[in-house]
Amino acid sequence: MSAPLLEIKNLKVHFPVYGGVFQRKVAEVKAVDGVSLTIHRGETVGLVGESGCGKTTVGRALVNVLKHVNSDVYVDGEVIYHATDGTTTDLLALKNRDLQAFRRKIQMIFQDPYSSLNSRLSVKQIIAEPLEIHRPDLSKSEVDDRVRWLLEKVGLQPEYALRFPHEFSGGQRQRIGIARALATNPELIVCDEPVSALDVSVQAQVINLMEDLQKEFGLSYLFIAHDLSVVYHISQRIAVMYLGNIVEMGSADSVYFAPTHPYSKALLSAVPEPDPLRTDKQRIILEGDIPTPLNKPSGCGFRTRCPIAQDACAKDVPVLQHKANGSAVACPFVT
Amino acid sequence: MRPLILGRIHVCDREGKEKGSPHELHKFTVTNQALIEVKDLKTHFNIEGTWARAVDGVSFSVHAGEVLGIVGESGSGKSVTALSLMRLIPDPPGRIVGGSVMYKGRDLTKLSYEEMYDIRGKEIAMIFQEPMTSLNPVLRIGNQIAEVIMAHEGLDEKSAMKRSVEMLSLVGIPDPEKRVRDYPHQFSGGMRQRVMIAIALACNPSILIADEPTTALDVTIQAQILELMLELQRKRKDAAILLITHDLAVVAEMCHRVIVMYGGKIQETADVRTLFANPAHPYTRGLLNSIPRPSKERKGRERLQAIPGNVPSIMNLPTGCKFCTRCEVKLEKCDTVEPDLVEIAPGHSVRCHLVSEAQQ
Repeated sequence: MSAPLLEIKNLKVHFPVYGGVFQRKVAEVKAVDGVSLTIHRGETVGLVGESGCGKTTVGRALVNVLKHVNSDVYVDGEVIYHATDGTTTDLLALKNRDLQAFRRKIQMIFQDPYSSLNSRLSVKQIIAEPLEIHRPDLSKSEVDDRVRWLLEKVGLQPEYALRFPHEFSGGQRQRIGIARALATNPELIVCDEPVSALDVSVQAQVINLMEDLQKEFGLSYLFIAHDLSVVYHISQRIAVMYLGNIVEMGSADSVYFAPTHPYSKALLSAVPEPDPLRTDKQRIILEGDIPTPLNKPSGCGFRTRCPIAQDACAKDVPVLQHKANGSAVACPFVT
Repeated sequence: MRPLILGRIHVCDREGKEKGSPHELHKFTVTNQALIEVKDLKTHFNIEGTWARAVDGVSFSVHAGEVLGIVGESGSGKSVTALSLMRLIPDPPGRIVGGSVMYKGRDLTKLSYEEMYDIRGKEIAMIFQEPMTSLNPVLRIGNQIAEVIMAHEGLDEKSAMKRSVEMLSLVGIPDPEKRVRDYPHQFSGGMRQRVMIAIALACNPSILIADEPTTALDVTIQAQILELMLELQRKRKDAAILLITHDLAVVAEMCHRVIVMYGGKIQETADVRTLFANPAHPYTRGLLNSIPRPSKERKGRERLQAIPGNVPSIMNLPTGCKFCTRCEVKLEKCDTVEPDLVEIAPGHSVRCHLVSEAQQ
């Protein structure tokens, strides 16, 4: 395995909930509650889970924007960046000013290609904006050249630079978003549901493009999505989240084909198969819905829906147990 | 396990429910009795003076006892087809400009608005993609279900509310006596979709149109909802489901027959096994090749085969074959001559020059 790029250690993100006449903080939503994950150079890590499990929050914590949304957000843990020369920096401990240099190394692609591009800016302005911030040394013509080059890299014609987002289809807009993320030469791109808003026939184009760019630039991806077959296709490793915790982690093959945690098993069995002849699949239908992170069950978060839950599950939060084959599972009752 | 009888739906209690894979469905023989027959349906939208042909000459029939799938991408006309059957096309800008929808000897496109009230919800019911926005946020769940029952069956409020409770327990909502008094915001996405299904089934419709019923839901909840729909479908052999989706995997699991739409027209129609094993239209083949199929052997070595280009806007579709701008095997005449929908095998029709030439 190649060198680590980003090491997330015991990340916790709690959002405040306000209430009452004075809008005081009355509760906390524990969106991410102790997540540890390492992303290596050139690797794609898939992060899957249902809505509300905290997968997007993990992605946002990496680019460290949460504090700007609301200063009451509680962020704890470490996000350690490993530079190529061996030095390490804890991104969460940095002040905003010092963070700037690291921001360009971690970029993000968003889910909705319609709202993530400023409709008043031309494509050129959109892609050049990160360059203006991170590379003020570039001259105007150098920026122009880079924008044209980036557009070609993502499979758009350089002439499109002067057009506006509304002139493009969803797939083309997502390409523009990818070009913007690539502009600063990042090392890691956090992809938050990058293809789920696209038409089926266009999804494959964008996935192929992302794979090509990864090979060409040695990028790492944190690929957050709910479509498990897409995640399996693109990822080397997959982590499954439930209610703010990682319940299972391992190579794509082991998580997709041999999940051990009862939640991963149910999640994988729920994925519909695009083959009408496959009738051997055993489907585990979970009862009920995911509990709200505002009022998490004690102990294991999954015990309220778990088919093998026992009394002991209510006591302690299970920790990820690492296994010999490199995978890890947070359930003491499975092997 | 004495089956309760609610209207015409036979319900077993929750432990006694018949379990089985969705595929057991295929063992049922679909009857040839057409419940609804759509002929040459054309729904166009007037957008700034030009007519966009959202649905342009679509013909199909839905038989009793089957789940018929319509797949297509955005702009293919699949949702507009469904809304046209329900006569829910906003006019202006949209209009059903031609064709007929025959249901029990009546042409739905010719009925007055008042006559349609009796059809909607009673004979044909619909569930929508967005369970968040399709319920009224200021009415209690129970009242929203009772509203349908009172409108169609003339029951008083008290007995209608009683039926609401039964409907909620039918769709698997725990504690229905209490939950009927809740408001939609107190329900999760999956439960709201269950409520939508309860409303749709409240008057025992013969046809349930489900327009992307699980797209907004998580996979585990999607599995619950699809299972629920199949379970209800198994109980009523004389009813049918028209399932509209973009997800081929959902089609593979749910449907007996499939219609593939593109550019407002049916491009291919076949039973589900033939379509997946033997797709004839280049678009269907492209779609099936572009979805990832997890397999250990091919992992890491396989590139997805994407269909090049983008879905054309319905404002400016090509004159010939609608797929010609993205087709990799197109002939010269594809640009100008629209191919006909030709039956290449019993029950398998394709709209493609290449396929029909190979047939001759």
